[in-house]
Amino acid sequence: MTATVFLLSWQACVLLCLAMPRHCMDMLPGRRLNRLQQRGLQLLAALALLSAPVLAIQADGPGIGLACWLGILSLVIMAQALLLAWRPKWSLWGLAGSLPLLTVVQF
Amino acid sequence: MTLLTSLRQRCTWLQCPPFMQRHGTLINRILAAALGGYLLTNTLAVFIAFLLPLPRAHAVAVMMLASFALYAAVIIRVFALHSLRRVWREIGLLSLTSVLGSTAFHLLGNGA
Amino acid sequence: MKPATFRETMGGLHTWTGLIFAWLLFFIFVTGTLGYVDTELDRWMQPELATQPPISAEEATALAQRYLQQHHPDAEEWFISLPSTRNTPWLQVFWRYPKDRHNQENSEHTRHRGRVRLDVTTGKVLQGRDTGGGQWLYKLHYKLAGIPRDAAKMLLGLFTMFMLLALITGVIIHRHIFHDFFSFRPGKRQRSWLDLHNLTSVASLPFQLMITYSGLIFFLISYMPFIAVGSYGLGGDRLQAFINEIFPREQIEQQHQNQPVPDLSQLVANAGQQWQQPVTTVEVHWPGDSGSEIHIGGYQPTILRVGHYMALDASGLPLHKTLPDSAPVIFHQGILGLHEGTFAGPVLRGFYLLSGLLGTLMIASGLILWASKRRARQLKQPQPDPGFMLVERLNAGTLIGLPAAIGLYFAANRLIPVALENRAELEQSALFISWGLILLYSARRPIQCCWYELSLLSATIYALLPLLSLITVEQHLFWGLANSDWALVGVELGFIATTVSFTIIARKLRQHWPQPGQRTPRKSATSMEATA
Repeated sequence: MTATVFLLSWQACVLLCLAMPRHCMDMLPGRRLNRLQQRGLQLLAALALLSAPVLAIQADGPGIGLACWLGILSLVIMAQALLLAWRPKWSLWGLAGSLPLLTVVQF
Repeated sequence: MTLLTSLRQRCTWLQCPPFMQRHGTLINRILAAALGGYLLTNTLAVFIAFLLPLPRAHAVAVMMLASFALYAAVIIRVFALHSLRRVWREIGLLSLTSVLGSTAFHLLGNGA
Repeated sequence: MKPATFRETMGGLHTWTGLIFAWLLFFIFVTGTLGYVDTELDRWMQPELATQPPISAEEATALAQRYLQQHHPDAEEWFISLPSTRNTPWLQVFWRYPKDRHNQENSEHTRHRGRVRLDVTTGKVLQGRDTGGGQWLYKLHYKLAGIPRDAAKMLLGLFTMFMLLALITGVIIHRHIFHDFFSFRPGKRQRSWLDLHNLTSVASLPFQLMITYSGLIFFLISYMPFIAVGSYGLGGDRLQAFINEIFPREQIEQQHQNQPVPDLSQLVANAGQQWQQPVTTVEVHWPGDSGSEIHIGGYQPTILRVGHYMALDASGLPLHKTLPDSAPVIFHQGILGLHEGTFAGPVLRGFYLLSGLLGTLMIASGLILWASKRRARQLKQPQPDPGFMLVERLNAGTLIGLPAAIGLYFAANRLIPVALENRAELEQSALFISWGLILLYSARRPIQCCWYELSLLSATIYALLPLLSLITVEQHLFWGLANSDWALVGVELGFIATTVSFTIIARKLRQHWPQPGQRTPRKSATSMEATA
C-alpha cells in the first residue's frame, strides 16, 4: 500500500501545482490554464489526496495508516517543492510516468 | 484608581528605575501571560471538568490533556489584546467565576 | 504610533518564542531524531557483541528463567524482555529487590536492581564495551545534561511550551499558506531562508504539532497538577487517588509461602498461540511466592504503547485482569506512542527520521533567517548589537557544532581502548568538551570563516568514522554487508550521508562567502558586500 499511497499523494501534489498559475508557468512555460481547467485539476487532486489516506487506513488501521500517510505527504511536499525549484519539467514527466504505475503497483 | 495613584505619589521610593519605565509594560504582559495565564488555565480547566458529563476522574483527565491547548490560547489572547488593564480584568473575572463555579459544584456534590 | 495589528503582535511573539530557546530546542530535536535509531546506534557502538541468531520466544524465556532462578531467586520482581522486535534485538533480564533487603551472601547483589543481556546461544551474560551508546544520546533528549531530573523536567516543559507557541503563532502569521505551499526560490538569500523555513514547517506541520503537544503530555501530572488538585483536593495522597482512578493498579502482596515458579516458557508458548503475535515481555512479581503474579505482554500493530496483555497467578492459571482502557487512557497511550514511534516499522521509521530532520531544519532555518535579516543593518553600525553577535556565534557553534560534537562522541567510541575503566564517561565528556571548544572557536573566529571551517570539520569527522571502524574493529561496513548486519550498515551509510551533506554545505558556503586565500572569488562585487 505504501507505494500506491506515495504515488497518489505525489500525483495530487503535482496536479495542485499545475492548478496554480505561478507553478504552472514553471512546468508548462507559455501555457495558461483557464478557470475551468484549474478547477478540474483541483478536483482530480482532491480525489487522489483523499483516496490515499483511505487506502493507508484500510491497510494498516487508523493510527498507523494516518501516520504513514502524513509521513509520505511531508516527503512528497518537500520533493515537489525542490523539483519545482530546480527541475520543474521532471515533475510533469514523473506525473505522466507514474499514472500507469498505479495500475501495476501492488504493495 | 485614585487611591492607588495617591499611594504611588506618596511612595516615591517605589518610583520605577529607567529599566522599568522602558520595559514595565512588557514585563507586565509577560507576567499576565505566564502566571495569569497559568492561573486562568487551571481554574477554567477545573470548572469545565465539573461541567463535563463524564465520571470525575475522566473529566479531570480530559481537561488535563487539553490544558496545554487552553494555556496556549490564553497566552495568545493576552498578547492580542491591546489594553493591559483589560487583560488583567479578563483573567481576574474568568478565574473568579471559575473558582466560584467549581466551589458551587463541589459543595453541591458533597451535599448530595 | 498606531497600535500593532494582531498579525504584527503574533509576528513578534513568534520571533521571541522561537528565538529564546532555539538552540536548546535544536539540541532536543537532534537528540530526539537520533533517538529514533537508538537501537541501531547501540549496535554500532558495541560492535563486538555477537549478532544473535533468531530464537523462539519459548527458548529465550527458558534461558532467561534459568539465569534468574540461578542468580536472583529471591528478588521482588523479574522482568524479561524477549528479542522479538527491532526495538529489542537482545534478550534482556531485569531484576529488582525490595529496597530494604539485599542478598548479603552474594556480593553481586549489593545493588537493589540490575539488568543484563543474555547470549541466546549460551545463556551467559553478554558483555560489550562500556558505553552509553545510542540510548545515552536519546536520554539527553529528555534528561538534558548535568542537571537534576526534576529541574530538567520543568525546563523541558518551559522549552516545549515555547515551541508550541512558536508553532501556533507561525501558522497564524503565515500569509498565503496555501498559495505558497510549494514555493521555494533558491539563491535569493533571505527570501530563500524564509522559503525553506516555511516549507519545512508546513510540510511536517502535523508531525511538529503532534510531537510538541505529546512532549508536554509526558509529564502532564507534573506540569498541571492543580487541575487534579482542584477536583480532588490538596495533598499527595489525593493526587495519587486521582492517578489510581485513571490507571487502576492493584498492589501485589507477598504471601511468604513458597511456591516454585511455573515453567514460563510454556506460558509464553500458550500466549503466543492465543494472540498469534510475538510475545514481547514477561514480568514476574514475587517469584517463588504463592502470591506471585505473572504478566505477559505481546506485540500489537497499533500506535498505542501497550499491546496484548495477560495476567496469571502463581500456578500459571489466568487471572481476569485487563489494562485500563477508558477513552482518556487510550488517547494518552496513543499520543505518547506516536511521539516515541516504537511501533514504527522500517518505512515508517524512515518517515519519523525525515520529519525529525525537517523539524531540525525548521529551527535552523529560522535562526539563520533571523540573523540574515539583520546582518546588513548590523554590520553597517560601528559596533553590532551584542544580542545579534550572540545569535550569530551561537548559530555557527550549535547548528554545525552540535553535529560535529556528536560525531566526536562516535569517534571516541572507536578510539578509546575497550578495556579502559570509565570509558563511557570519557565518551560522554568528549561530546560536551568538543562542543564547548567549538563554541569558543566560533566566538573568536570571523563569522564567514567560522561557518565554512566548522562545516569542513564536521564533514571530516563523519568521513573518518567508517575509516575508524575499518581500522579499530572487525565489524566495519564491509563486514556488515557480508553478514547482513543491517543496523551496522545503516549507521555507517548514515555517517557517509552526513559527510556528503556537510561537504555540500561547505561548498555552498564557499560560493557565497569567499574564504581568505581562495583563488578566484565567483562574484566579486556582490561578494564584497556580503563579506563586509
